[in-house]
Amino acid sequence: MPIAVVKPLEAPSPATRAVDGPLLASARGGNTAALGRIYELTQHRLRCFARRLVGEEAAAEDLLQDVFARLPRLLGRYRGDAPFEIFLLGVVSRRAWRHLRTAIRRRVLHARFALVDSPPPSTPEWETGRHELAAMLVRALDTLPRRQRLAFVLREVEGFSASEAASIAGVPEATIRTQVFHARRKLQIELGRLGVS
Amino acid sequence: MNDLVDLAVRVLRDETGVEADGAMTRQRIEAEWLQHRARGRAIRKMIIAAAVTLVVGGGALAATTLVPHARPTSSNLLPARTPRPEVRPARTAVAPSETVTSAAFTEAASSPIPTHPSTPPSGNLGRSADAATSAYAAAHHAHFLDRDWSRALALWTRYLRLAPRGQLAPEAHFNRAICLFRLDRRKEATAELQPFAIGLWGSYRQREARQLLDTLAGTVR
Repeated sequence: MPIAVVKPLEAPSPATRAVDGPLLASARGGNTAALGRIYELTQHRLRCFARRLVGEEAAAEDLLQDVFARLPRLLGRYRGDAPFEIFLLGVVSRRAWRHLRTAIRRRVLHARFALVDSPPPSTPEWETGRHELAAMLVRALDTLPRRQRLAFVLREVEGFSASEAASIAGVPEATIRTQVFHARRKLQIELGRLGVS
Repeated sequence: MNDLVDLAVRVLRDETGVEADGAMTRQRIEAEWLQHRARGRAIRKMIIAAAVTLVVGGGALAATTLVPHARPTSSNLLPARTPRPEVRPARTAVAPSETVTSAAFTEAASSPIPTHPSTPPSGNLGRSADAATSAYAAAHHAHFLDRDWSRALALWTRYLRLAPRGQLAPEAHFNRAICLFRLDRRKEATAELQPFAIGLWGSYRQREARQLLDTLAGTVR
């Protein structure tokens, strides 16, 4: 099945601006409606990021619940030096590892069973569809060290600038650039190993 | 090969960028927020109670230790009139929502006796506790031994009237829901189970309540 990619890279959503001071103040006061509003404004972006980082729907939902359940406590830690959504993305990235470990274990298991049924495809254009290519990228991402994975997902998949990615990951910009460089190189090798050429 | 990575990245973005429903996740998150709020309130009450106890206890201690050595003048007789043991009856008459002592808070948390404003003074408190305990025992007997659902329902309701905030109140509510379910009063059973399912009682009986609600979902008239 040939792969058709038509959508260009999209810019990050501007939902951040909607989470303003009064809303945060109200949520800090324990107003569940305000907490719900923050959830509504940020959930899509956070859910997409969680899916891309852990590579699995169920694990992403667990991660999202993990983060939003802590929202009342997290509000007290937010200093306002970055947009609230960036702050939450940082929390997601820090809490992702436990969920990622579970997801990777599951994927390894699934891959083992899948290999018994069908051999791995050789070229993406003819033997795999879009879904398979995405699945292969996720499997390739699984082989990266977690910091490189985070840097790659933030910069290349989410489309954040180096400074935003650095702010979310809590590392210097230069580190992000280096990590993305190494991640990309490893991904090329890994995708080749998986039979994508 | 670099193009291939870019291609895979775009596909991954497209696949994971679709809007999701996430209703269940939201439901679970909201239940946790409610729990968090309840926990926060309980902690605040405990801190206030501890602080007040320290102040009251400190005053009483000062009165009992200092006053006997002091000369019995009219001014130093005043604190001596409120020694520590006499503080207790006053505490039990305070409502949990307005609780000011740790003793009252502990009682509210550890006994099935409600410390409600309408609670009679300490003399009747023992009788009220006895009534609640025997109502619970009777309800338990009717429910689990006799399996007489209508009698058990009446007795659980009676216990909850006697001890609406008692330690055993959550269990009584749950058992009441079971009785309603057995008596085929499914709408009432659903209403009784909802707080458990959404986590208002924490994770207590949450899974069972959800399972029961799932069972009831298709059959509620």
